[in-house]
Amino acid sequence: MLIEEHELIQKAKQGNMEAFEELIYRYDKHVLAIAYNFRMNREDAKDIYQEVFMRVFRSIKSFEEKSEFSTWLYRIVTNVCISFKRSQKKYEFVSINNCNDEDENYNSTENLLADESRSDDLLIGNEITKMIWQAVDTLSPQQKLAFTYKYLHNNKIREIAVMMNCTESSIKKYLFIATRKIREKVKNLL
Amino acid sequence: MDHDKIREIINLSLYDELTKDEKILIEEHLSQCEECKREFEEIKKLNGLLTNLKLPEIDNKLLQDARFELRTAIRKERSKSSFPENLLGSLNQLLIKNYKLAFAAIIFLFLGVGIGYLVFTNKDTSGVAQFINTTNVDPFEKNNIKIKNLRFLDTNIKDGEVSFTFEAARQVTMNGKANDAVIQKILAQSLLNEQNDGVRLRTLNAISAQTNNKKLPGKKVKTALISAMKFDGNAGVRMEALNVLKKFSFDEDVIEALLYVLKSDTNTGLRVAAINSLSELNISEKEMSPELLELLKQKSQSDENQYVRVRAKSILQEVYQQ
Repeated sequence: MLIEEHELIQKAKQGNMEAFEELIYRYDKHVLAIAYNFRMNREDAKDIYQEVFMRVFRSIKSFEEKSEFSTWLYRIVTNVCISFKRSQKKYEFVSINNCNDEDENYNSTENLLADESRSDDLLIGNEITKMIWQAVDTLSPQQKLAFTYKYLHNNKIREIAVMMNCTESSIKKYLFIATRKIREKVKNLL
Repeated sequence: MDHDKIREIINLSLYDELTKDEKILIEEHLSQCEECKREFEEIKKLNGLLTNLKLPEIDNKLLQDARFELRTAIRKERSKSSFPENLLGSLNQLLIKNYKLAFAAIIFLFLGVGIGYLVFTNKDTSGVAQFINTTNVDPFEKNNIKIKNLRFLDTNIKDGEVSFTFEAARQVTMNGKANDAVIQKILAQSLLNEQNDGVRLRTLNAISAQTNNKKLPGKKVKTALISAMKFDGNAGVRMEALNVLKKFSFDEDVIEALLYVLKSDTNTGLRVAAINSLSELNISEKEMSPELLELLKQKSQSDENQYVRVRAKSILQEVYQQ
C-alpha cells in the first residue's frame, strides 16, 4: 500500500533514510528528465539531480508543509537549473526571485558550445520537431523552464509562478517570448 | 488595444487561461482584425505541435547511476555530521527561537535520557542501572535494544509531558543459505549503504565465500556488486567487487560495467584488472560490441598507463587474428 506522503515526510524529517528514499523516488525520474531536457547532457543532468536532492536532504527538516512537497521540490529544481553553470559544475547564487525580465534577448552561447546535442532518437522524427527543439535550446534558462513546465509538465501558469517564484505576468511573458522564438524558427513550415 | 498586447493574449487563449474580460476582448478583436485572426490560426497550429512534445525518456541506467551517486553523497554528508553535532545544532535552534525555559527543561530531560542511554549500552554500571529500573524502560534493556539519534518533537513542555523520537536498534543474528532472498537483500543493502569501508569489504568477502558455483547471485546482489565496482568511493572496495564478479560467468551487464571501469576509473589498478578480465573473455571480432572495439582502440593509444595501452593493443591483435 502506498504510504501517505505526509507520513513519509515526517519520517524523513526524523532521519529515516528509507522513508526519504521512498519519498524522493516518487519524483526523481521526472526531476532527472527535466534536468536532462534542460541541459541535454547526461553528466550535467546527474549533477543537477544530485544537487537538487542534496538540498532536499539538507532542508527537509525545515520544510513546514505549507505547500505541497512537489511544489517545494520543483522550486528547488528551478533554482538549481537556473544557477547551474556547466563549465564550473558550480551553482551560482541566485536571488530567491528567479525572474529576470532582461533575458528576452538571451543568446545561448553556452548551449552552442555544449558537446552533446539532442540526439536523433530523442527527436520525434520530423523536421519541424527538430527545429522546435533547436529553438527551445536557444531560450534563456527562465524561458526554457517556464516552457518545460507548461508544455512538457502541463502545469497551469499559476502553478509555474509558484514553482519559479515569479509573478504570473512574468511567466506569461516568458511563454510569449518562448513561443514567439519557436514560431520564428518554424514559420516557413507552419 | 495594440496588436502586440492582443498577440500576447492570443497565446494565453490557447492555454485556456484567459479571464472572462480577456475572452470577450479577444473575440471582438478577432472578428474585426484579419491580421490578428491569421496570427491566431498560426499560433493555434504551433500550439498543437508544442502540446505533442514530450520530456525525453530517461533510461534506467542513468536513473540508477544518479540514485547511486546521490546515496554515496548522502552517506558522506551523514558521516560528517555526527550525533553530537546534530544535537548541538538542534539546541542552538532552540536558543535562537528564545525558548529558554523549555530549553532548560529539555536539557534536564535529555541528561536523564542520556544517562539511560549510557546504562543501556553498559550493563556493568550497577549504580545507574538502579535508576533505569525506576523509569520503566525495562523492555529495551531486556531485549538489548540500543537507543540512538534521539530527537525532541516539541519545543514546549506542558504538564511535564515530553515527546521525542529515537532509533531503537537491536542486534540480529542471522544464519541462512547464500541464495536466500532475505540474506541477499541484506547483503546488497549493506554493500550499498554501509558507511564503514571495512564492513563493505567484509560483505563482499561474505558474498564471495558463500558461492562455489559460477552462477551469478540474485539480481539485487548482482546490481549491488556492479554498483560497488563502478561507484564505491573506496578503490579497495571497487577492486574487491570486481574480483567477486570475476568468479561468475560474465553477462552483458557485467561486461558493460567492466567497460565503464576501463573507461572511467581513475585508479590504474582497477583499469588493469578490468582490461585483464575483458581479455579473458576471448571475444571474437564478430562478437565484440562496437563500444568495446572503440574503447580498446582508444585505450591502446591514449591510456596514461603503459600496461593498459599494451594490453589493449594485444587484445585487438588477438581479435583480428581470430
